[in-house]
Amino acid sequence: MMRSLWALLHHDLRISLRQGNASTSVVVFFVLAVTLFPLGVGPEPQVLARIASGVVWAAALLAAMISLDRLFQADFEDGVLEQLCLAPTPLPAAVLAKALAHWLLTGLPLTLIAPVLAMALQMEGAGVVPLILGLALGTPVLSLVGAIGAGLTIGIRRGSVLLSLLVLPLFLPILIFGVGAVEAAINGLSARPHLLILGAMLLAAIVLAPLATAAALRANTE
Amino acid sequence: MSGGLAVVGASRRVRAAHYATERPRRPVAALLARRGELAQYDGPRFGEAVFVTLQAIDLTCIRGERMIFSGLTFSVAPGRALLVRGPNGVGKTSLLRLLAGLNAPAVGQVRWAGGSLAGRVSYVGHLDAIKAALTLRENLAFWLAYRGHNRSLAAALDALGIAHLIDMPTRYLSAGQRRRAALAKLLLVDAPVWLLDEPVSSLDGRGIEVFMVALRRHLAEGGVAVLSTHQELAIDEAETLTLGRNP
Repeated sequence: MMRSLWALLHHDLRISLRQGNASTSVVVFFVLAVTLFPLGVGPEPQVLARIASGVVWAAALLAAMISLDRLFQADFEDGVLEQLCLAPTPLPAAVLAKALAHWLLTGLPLTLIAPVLAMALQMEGAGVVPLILGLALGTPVLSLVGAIGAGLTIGIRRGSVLLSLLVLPLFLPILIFGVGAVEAAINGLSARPHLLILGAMLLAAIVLAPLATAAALRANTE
Repeated sequence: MSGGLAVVGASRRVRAAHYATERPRRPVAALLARRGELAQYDGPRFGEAVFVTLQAIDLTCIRGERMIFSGLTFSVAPGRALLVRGPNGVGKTSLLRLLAGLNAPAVGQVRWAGGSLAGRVSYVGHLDAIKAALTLRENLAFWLAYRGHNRSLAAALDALGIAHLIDMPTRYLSAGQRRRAALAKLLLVDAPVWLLDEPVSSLDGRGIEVFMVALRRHLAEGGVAVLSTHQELAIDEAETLTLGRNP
């Protein structure tokens, strides 16, 4: 089964890289969204430093979300999803591989570029490591929980709007604890409890989200 | 209504022993014998390989609020094919999707060798499941790896007459060539049951010929096929199931 999942991961990454837009558009959106804030609230360093963690996290959530609607849509339209449903490899495992591919193409670049944007917003140095760790734990949850929404909305015209309404509320706990980790470190407290909760969310999402997504996909391929 | 139809073909050319090694199962032979079904079979009587039969029992399909068909019962023995015929909208695709397990039947069940059919099916539907961004080789190599078999890609493409297209991005392929590629996947995946929804649509005369060769070889190896078609296909090993409209 691992060989199948490796093949699926490889296949998804190859398609994305061949089409050459997924990662780039997400990262560009992220950078643009973050740079809107200094233009909007003014360039005072104290103000920017105060809002930096929240801005970076909120922009990361939105950036991760805009790529979600394509997660299963193409597979649904060209019949690959039907074939994945019929293969001996369990569908939840296939969902996990696809979510991992999505994270590698969106969450990982966001995590890597976030510290640069945080520095540009004058965030204090103490917050950088918790920001990276928080995003590294939090963005896979976005891909996994987002997959449930993507699975529920395939085949719906203009499903991406509905998808946002479905999954954004579910992203709120990630935002709260992700920003909490950064704020705690900046204020001289330990970021560890916040990161542990994000880690717990990730573990729960790895177990539960593929099952929910597979059920949604099966219902929608009927 | 085409309820209660029984298509029981019993081939003497059973060479399905290799399917039996897939999964050890409880002794199906004993169960079937108790229900008196052994009498219908005149092949060898020992081992599970004998009973790798596709059975549809009392299938009822409801789409939306409409009943498409009900009480459909048939079985397809190893080495046999079932041709599903009937006018448009009569439920041929619905039947194939029920058999594949893509849709759940409202009533009834589908069985393979007395158990579940899940994971033993190759299904070719209206969609070819070919990624336009990738080459033919990349597309088929993925399915080969995903279904976990180690067959020859070149041989499968050669059998369908598309070996020369192997490094072509599939978005440049014609509908017929894409359909041939979808059918080539059947040869890569070692599934005992083929469910084919209008497999020869968009194929030319030569394409139908090479497909028929592949299908006959599958049946000769003890496989089972259910296919819907509007064309005349000369399959000696096939029974025909004609679906009719509700009166």
